[in-house]
Order: sequence, then structure tokens, then C-alpha cells
Amino acid sequence: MIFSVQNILARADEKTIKRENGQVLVETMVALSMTVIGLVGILMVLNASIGLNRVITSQYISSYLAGEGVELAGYQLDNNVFASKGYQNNLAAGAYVVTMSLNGLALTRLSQSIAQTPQAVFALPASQVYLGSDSFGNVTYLSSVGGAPAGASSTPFHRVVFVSWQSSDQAVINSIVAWQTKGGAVMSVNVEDHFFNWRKP
Amino acid sequence: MNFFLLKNILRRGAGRESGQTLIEMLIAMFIFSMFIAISVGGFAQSLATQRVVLKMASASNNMSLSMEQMLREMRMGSNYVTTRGSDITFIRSSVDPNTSQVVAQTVTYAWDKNSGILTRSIQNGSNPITLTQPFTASNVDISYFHVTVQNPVGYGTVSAPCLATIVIGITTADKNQTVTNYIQTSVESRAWGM
Repeated sequence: MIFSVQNILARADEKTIKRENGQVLVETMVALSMTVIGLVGILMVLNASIGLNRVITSQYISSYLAGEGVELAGYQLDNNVFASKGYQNNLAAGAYVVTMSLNGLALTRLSQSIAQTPQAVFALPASQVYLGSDSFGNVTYLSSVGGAPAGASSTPFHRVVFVSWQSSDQAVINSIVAWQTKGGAVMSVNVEDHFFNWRKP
Repeated sequence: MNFFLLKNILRRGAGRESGQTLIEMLIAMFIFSMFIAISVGGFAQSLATQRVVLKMASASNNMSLSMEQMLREMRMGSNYVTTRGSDITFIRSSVDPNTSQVVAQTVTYAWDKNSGILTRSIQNGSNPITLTQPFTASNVDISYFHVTVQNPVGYGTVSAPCLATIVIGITTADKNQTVTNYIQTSVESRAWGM
């Protein structure tokens, strides 16, 4: 009889110890899992935040590059007015990239036609924008139709300036800068401007 | 004899179970510590990157405003000229508040390399005193500034308006991280015949 009681008590103690031990392990695992989930969640939010800020930075740089494309097209049109040439002179409808000439930046017309979409702009090797140096060693963004300029590093940006004419005195300029995010999505900035031959006699 | 033997076995058994739990706990704690150490390291790195990103965003916002003001003034000015590439000087017209007469002013934006800022100087045609002030915000560190002018004043025959291409490098630094973003844009003088 006494053996039975001892046995029961001993088994009960043993079960309690085992159950408690198991609880400690399970509790630890649950706590660990919750901590892992919490930390991973925070890290994911931070990572997403940094990723979005990277997109904002790219948009910041590309908006200036796109604006520059429009400015260069307007510059060509003003040159035509200034030199009393035809308004469409050196700016036929088509796609252009910004290249470096001896005088500075200029638009160079591409021989092929390109769809006016960010995907088409990004897929075009000739539209790749590089960060390099001009002939005087000054830092500048360059496009090269033939390939990478010597010593220049590639940027994620591709830029094409599209010129179309609604009439002989109204040019429509779309400057598109496209780039690919880390996730693979193609993002873009498209700046559009209309220029009128306001000095038409 | 049997009683003691059984009790001993049970005790020993219970002792072994406790020991296993302790080892498991230690292993769990070790894994947990390892994970926490890695997580905290990654977290700290993310926070540092976040700090740089926030600084960069703040500097970019301020620089955007400065660029907007500078480009607008340049667009309405004429006779662009640069002496060292790290400055741009042009003429703009303004109404003198005292005499109500239109006066030509010489404006210069220049890069102060040592301070990492842009300065703006202005001089009235009749007044020899040049007023120079910081133009960019204190949290904007300009590590590069270069201007290229097409068709500058005195360059051959003036057959086209002036065009200035401006490249600005903005550096953001925080402890071990340094990021430089270059922005480039061109601006054409729309004030012809000034």
C-alpha cells in the first residue's frame, strides 16, 4: 500500500516536472517566435522605408535630368529663332538622346523609332545615362549612342527626348527618364512641354 | 530495498529530465542570443541607413528650393559667364525701390568649397558694394559644383542665347556612411537683348 502511494506521488512529481519542463521549452519557443516575428516585421518596415527613399532619391535626380531634356529641346528651338532659321530646323520629329559635344550638351537624333513608353526607353541601350567626365575632367551625366564613355560609370537612368509636331509652329516635347528598381519594376519621370513659334512673322 | 531503488531511479530520472531542460534552455538562450545579436546589428545598420536617408531627403528638399530660386533668376537673366567653372555670373534687371528706375544688377552664384555651400552675390550697376550671402541651407553639404556655359558673352558672334549646364554634388554623411548624389540640369537665358 505504502509502495503504491509513494509510486503515485513519485509519478505525479515526475509528470509535473516533465510537464513543467515542456512548458518552459514551449514558452521559450513561443517567446522566441514572437520576438523573431516582431523583429523581422520591424526590419521589413525599415527596409521598405529605405527602399522607398531610394525611389524618391532616384525621382529627385531623374526629374532634373528629364527637365534638362526639355530645356535642350527648347534651346534648339530658340537657336532657330535667334538665327532666323526654320522653327523645325535640326529638330525633326523623332527620338533624341543627350550627348556631349565640344560646345556642351546637345540633342542627337536616333535613327530608329522608339515607342514613347518607359519600358521602351529603359530597354534601349543607347539611352543609358552615364556619370563621367567631360573633356575637361568635370563631372557630368553623359549619354553615349555608341557605348559607355571611357572612365564613366553607369547610372540606373535611361533618358530619351521625344519630339513631335502638332503643327509646323507647335512642338511637343516629352522627356522620359526611366530606371529599374531593385524589385524589377520600371519607374519613370515624363516631363512634357509645348513650344510655340511665338516670333512667327 | 525495492522502495529505495525505485525512488532513487525516479529521482535520478527526474534529475536527468531537469538537466536536459537546463541544457535545452542554454541552447535556446544561445540561439536566442545569437539571433538577437544579428538582429540588433542589422537593426542598428538599418537605423543608421535610415538616418542617412532622412538627412539626404532633408538636404534634397532644401536644395530643390535653392535650385528653383537660382534657375528662375538665371532664366530671367542674361550674359552668362563663368570664370572658374565653380561660379556663374549673369545680368538681371530690377526696379530700384528708391528711384523706381530699372537698373541692371550683376548676380553671382559661387561655390564656397571650404564651407560646402553656395553663395549669392549681388551688385547694382551704380553701387560698387557687393552683397554676398550664403544661399544654400546649412544642412546641405555641396561637395561638387560646376557650371558649363554655352555661348557665353564675348564668345564669337552672339548667334544663340546662353545656356548653362549645372552639376551639383550633394553629400550626406553619418558616421561610417557617406552618400553623394549628383544632380544636373540646364537652364537657358530667356532674356534676350538685355
